[in-house]
Parts: sequence; structure tokens; C-alpha cells
Amino acid sequence: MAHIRLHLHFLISRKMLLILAFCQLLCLASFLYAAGALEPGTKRDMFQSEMYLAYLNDSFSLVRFMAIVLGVLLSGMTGTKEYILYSCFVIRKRRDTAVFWMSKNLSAMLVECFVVYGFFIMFMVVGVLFVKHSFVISDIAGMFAKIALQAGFYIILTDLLMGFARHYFIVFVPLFICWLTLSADISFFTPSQGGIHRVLYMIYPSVIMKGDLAVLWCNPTGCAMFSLGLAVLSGAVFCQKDM
Amino acid sequence: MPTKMKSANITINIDNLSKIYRNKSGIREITTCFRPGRINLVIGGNGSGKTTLLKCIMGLVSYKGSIRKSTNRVGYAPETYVMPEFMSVRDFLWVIGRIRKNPKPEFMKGFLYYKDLLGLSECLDRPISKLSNGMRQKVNLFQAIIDEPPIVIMDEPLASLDQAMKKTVACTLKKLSKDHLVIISTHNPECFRQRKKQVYEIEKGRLLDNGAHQTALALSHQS
Repeated sequence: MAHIRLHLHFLISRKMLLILAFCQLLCLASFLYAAGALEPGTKRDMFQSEMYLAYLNDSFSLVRFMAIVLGVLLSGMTGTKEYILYSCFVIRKRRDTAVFWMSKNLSAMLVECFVVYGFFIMFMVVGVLFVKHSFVISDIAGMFAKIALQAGFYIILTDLLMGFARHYFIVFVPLFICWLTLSADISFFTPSQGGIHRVLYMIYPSVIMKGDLAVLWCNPTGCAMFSLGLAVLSGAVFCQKDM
Repeated sequence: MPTKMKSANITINIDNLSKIYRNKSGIREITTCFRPGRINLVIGGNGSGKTTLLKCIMGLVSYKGSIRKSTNRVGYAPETYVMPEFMSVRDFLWVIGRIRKNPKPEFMKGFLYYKDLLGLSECLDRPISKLSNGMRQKVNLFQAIIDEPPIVIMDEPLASLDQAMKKTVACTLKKLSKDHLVIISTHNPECFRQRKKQVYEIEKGRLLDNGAHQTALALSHQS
């Protein structure tokens, strides 16, 4: 716990707080727009189901993108040379580097979870106030949890890449992958087509909307194994490198 | 002074230690032994390998050769460091103590003793971002010696300190070195005027005639 507390103090710097606050405000504005808060009340009454679906889909796309970008930034931050400098206060033997690595990633994931939780609260408040449709909280919570899972995958991926080259510019690689996958058609991740499509379906945790439900569009076991493999590799790379 | 520890068995044995960076700098084939009961001064020019040697001892970098420490309870004050800006000095020290699993009474004893000695009493509840470089350096030294670990390693401990504090820190380290293993990397060996000291000079990554400089320095102080 003490390790995580120290990491959180490093992570939540003034600069990071400003970025997080900006993202939350941006999301709030987008939720309000997607909920039709600027539209006349009569329109919202007439097209309740349509407005609900539009709100759900638009918010989902935005939150997914924001969560992934923030996850990549957080992970990138914990991988820089400047951040790793503070390890000298806690590492007393070579084995301590593993604890340091684990706690820094757990802290990044914890911050990410708080951010997604913030999005969830805002989504619900705006939805209840402006969208005249009943919300099933468990479904909505599931949708945000799946988004957090996908962001977690990007945190691990970024950490691995930062392990090889401890420079902040490396975050453009996962961001490019993110842009590529988010803009790709879902047929990229289908098991029936074989080849690269099947491989991507097996290893990449894609989250998509099917109607009014968010679905984890991948092979859960394959994805979990691949993520675990990435994490182990990332830890090994980190522990081998100099602090 | 808080706890007194038995120092007889505290040693660091270094055998054929090499650490070469990509730009060919680093240290080469260093074999030596650090013992308590005296101040161990590591001196040398910029880029000679002093910090690398200390980092190897701390396990912060990978290396070839072997380093045998009699204990892993080491206090380390690095030359370059980053501290959490929003945390207060007190919280920072407390968390560091928790991470190192310091026993609470021992930690508190050291905390109360050194906060006054280093002149940090008034800024314990201030966030680290509000501290000057000199005060941050004091916090850096404080965290290394707070629980009086058997081995204390300091990289340029006198940097950013005023003259009075330099004397206080040098005096504290002198006292500590009596029954602790103290290793100091410095560009100012003249600040450590005690007789019991061993000087290790590193030049271009190689350890020069181990101990010969002790005499030379002692003579220079007498003159």
C-alpha cells in the first residue's frame, strides 16, 4: 500500500490533474450534447428510444477513446526516465525493481479506474436528467468496466514499449494502434475469416456496441493469456534495464 | 543519537565489478572492500564512475562481477532525485519508512533526532514543491539516515547546502561512521577532516591505488 500511495502522489501531479480535469469537462460537455440537452424538450419526448440509443453510442465511443488515451498517457508517464529516478528511494536490492514495476502499473490502473468511474457518474447524471429512458445500471456499469479493461490492455502495452525506450514519444505507437483499431471495421476482428483477422480476434480486447449493450468482441481466454504474456515480458524488460 | 548497532560484520565486498554504458563510460574491474569505523570517500572527476559505483552497490543498475553486502538495510541519498511535489515532508518520510518496513519506535527516534539536527522541524508539514533546493537536499539526506541503517551511501551529500549545514552534515556522518559503514561520493573531500577515513579515487572508471590518497589528503589538511 505504501508503494502505491507514493506512486499515486507522483502520478497525480498538478499537470496531470489539469489534464484529467480537462478530460472530465470535455466528456461532460459531450455527454450533454449527446443527450440532446440543447434540443427542445418536445423532441426528446417524441424520440425517447432513438435519443437513448444515440446517447449510449456517442458516449460509448467518446469514453472508450478518452479512457484509452488517458491510459496510454498515464502508462507513458510512469515509464519515463524522470519518473523512474524516484526508484532510488525504494530500491535496496535488485529484486525490489519487480515490486516497483508492479506498484507503478497498479497505480496507473487505479487512476484509470477512477477516471472511468468519473465518466460513469457523469454519464448517469446527464442520462437521468436529460434522456427520458430507463437505464439498467448493471448494463451501463458493465459497459464502463469493459472500457476500463480495454484501457488496461493499452496500459500494459505502453508499459512494455516504454520499457524498451524510456522516452515519452513512444506513446505515439499505442496511440496509433488505438486509432487504427478504433477506425477499423469490426470485420477485422472476426474468427471466421482466418489469418490476421482470427489472430486479432484471439488477442485484441475489442469492445463494441451491439444494440444497447457493450460487448467484449474477442476471445476472453486468448486475450487474457496475451495480456498476461505482455505483462510478464514488460516486467522482465523493466527489471533488466538500469534504473 | 538513536540506535547503536554492532558494526563488526558490516562490509561490502566488491569483486571485479564492471559496468560499461553504451557510450563506453562506466566502471571497469573494480575490486575493493568497504568497512565501517571510518568514512569511505569516493573521489574522482566528472564522469569518472563514482555514481555508477554507488548505483551498482544499490542494485539500481545491472553489472558484471560481484557485490556482497552483509545486509540489505541500506540508506541511500542519490545525487539526482525526484520527489512527490504534493506530499508533505512528514508524509514522504513516513511512506518511505513504511516501504522499508522500519520498526516504528526506531523510525520515530531517528525522526525526532534528525529533524532538529538538519533544521527541518519547521517545514515538516510543507509540501515538497514549496521547498528550496537546499531544503530538498536535507530531506534527501534525512530519508537516508532516518532509521540509521547499517550501511549509509551518499552521492554528493553536501551539494546545495550552506556552509553551516555542510559542517553539520559532515559531523553527523563522522559520528555515524564510527559504527556504521558510510560511503560518500564527493568532489569536496576536504570537508571531511577526520583522521579515520579511506579515500578511493576513481579515474576513467578504474579504481586507483586504493588508500594511498588517504595519506596525501591527511598531509594536505595538516598543512
